[in-house]
Amino acid sequence: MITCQAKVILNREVKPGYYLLRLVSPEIARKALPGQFALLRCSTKDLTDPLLRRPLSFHNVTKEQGEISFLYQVKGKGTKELTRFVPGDTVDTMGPLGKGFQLEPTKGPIAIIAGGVGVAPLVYLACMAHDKGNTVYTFLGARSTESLLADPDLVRASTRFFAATDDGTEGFCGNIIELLHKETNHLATCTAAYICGPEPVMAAAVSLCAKVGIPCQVSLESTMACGVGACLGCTCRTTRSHNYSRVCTEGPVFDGREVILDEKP
Amino acid sequence: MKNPSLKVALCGLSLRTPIMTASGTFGYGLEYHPLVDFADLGAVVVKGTTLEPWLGNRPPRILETPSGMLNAIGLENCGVEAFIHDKLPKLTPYDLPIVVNIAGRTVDEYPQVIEHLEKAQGIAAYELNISCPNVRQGGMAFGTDPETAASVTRAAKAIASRPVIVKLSPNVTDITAIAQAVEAAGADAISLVNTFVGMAIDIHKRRPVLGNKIGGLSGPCIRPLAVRMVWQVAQAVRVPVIGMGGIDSWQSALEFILAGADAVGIGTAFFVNPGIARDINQGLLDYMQKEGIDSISQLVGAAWK
Repeated sequence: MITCQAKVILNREVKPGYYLLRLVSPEIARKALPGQFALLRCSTKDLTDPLLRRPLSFHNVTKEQGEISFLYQVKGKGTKELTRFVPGDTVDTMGPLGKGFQLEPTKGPIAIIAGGVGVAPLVYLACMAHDKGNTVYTFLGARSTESLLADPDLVRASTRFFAATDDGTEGFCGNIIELLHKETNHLATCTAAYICGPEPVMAAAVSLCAKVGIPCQVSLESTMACGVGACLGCTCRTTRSHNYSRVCTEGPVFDGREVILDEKP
Repeated sequence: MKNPSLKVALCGLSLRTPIMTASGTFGYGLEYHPLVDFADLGAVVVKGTTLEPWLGNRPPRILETPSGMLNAIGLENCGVEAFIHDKLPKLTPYDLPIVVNIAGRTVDEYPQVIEHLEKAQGIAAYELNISCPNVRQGGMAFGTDPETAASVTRAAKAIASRPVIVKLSPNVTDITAIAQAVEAAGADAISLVNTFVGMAIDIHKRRPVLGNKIGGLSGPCIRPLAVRMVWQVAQAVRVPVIGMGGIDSWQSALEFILAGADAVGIGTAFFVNPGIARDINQGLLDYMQKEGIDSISQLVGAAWK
């Protein structure tokens, strides 16, 4: 874990309201694992508003170039500020942080299940699994083709790529859970599933994985302050004996069976 | 001119710099290590510790606000026994005074926690968090009534062999009355301020944002409120004062010192800049060099005149 001034190479709107940010930080790139995250200071000057850093999962990492990238949705003050960075600027970046995905040691097929911008932490994982020789089944859902974040690297890493849009403008017409139900035969052959998206989507995907009998890991999102396990501000409910776990250090990736997800939309 | 000194003597503790951590923002010290160099700190104040483990509040526990943040962690902690066995030994090898913050739901719980801590080695002082709700008195915080604040202080002092710092809540009408009451009850130092009570409402869900509904406000937005309180308390008591509330630069640290603080606490600013203690020390040294000031203690309360 380090802090550095990472130079911006690219900060581009890839779909309306969604940006891809690429930074140079060889030290962070060398250590970053899929599912881990960094804390970014979102203002270019020493402003106190927005005050806190924003946690963003590594979208992809190229160790050779020393580059780290983030995919983010413009949601509030922090992400809106973040869109102002242009190539040549530097972003105060702290990372890598947290516990990432545990990639199956076997070469069996794996499932990537992503709802909306939940695809962000899964691309690096899919690329790594593909390079290792795993068969990768990707299930990606969004409201519409306008928000379907089908990253070229993800499509390339996927042995089979299934897309779903609520309005049917691209791929299967329906939500991602309906798509998964339709493709249960593929899901059932997987040795593990990796899930990220809105909580109700993750909750439904976790129970579907349990039904077909495959283990799964989920990546959680939380408002965060310290990012290092000190402030206890980002806890989630778990089935562990001590009830609450810190998303920043015990997560953000958890075993799907050990977190209690909000099923309500 | 010889090099200026940041050394501070505070109720028997010698601090190499006036920069301390604010309880609850720095965990048990090691979470931020090695991102924060302990050589930049005068003392570390660890997470509020209670007799039994506390689970804490249901999430969401934090929320960013304009130039600040609300938190309602609910003093989640592992309890004093686990602290002594699992946390403290990892921190004592470092050359850094350790202050243990103590919380309780009844007056009796404070000396009971201290009784456990008295057996442990490597603790420099205790800090009493009197902002938690007093279950015996219908949930009102100990720190909002001079008599109750004094009785907690007396109970702690009766058993403590180490200095007792009392941390005041700002959610009172007259903070100097509380400060004088805890001083009369034997407090060795006073720290202020704890967070200001606040809340925020989610307009889409039409519900409070925080799981606990109400939380404590910290960050630069509370700084002028905290400076005023430090200014008044430091002039109303003789014991040393540790000032805190939105410090995020050497200039704001100096503001508290000039208002009468012997040392200062850094909290929320660590979340934004883990290198803040180093930056403040450097800024203070440069300022003193430029102004021809030998010792930081010469600046304590210098704004009173």
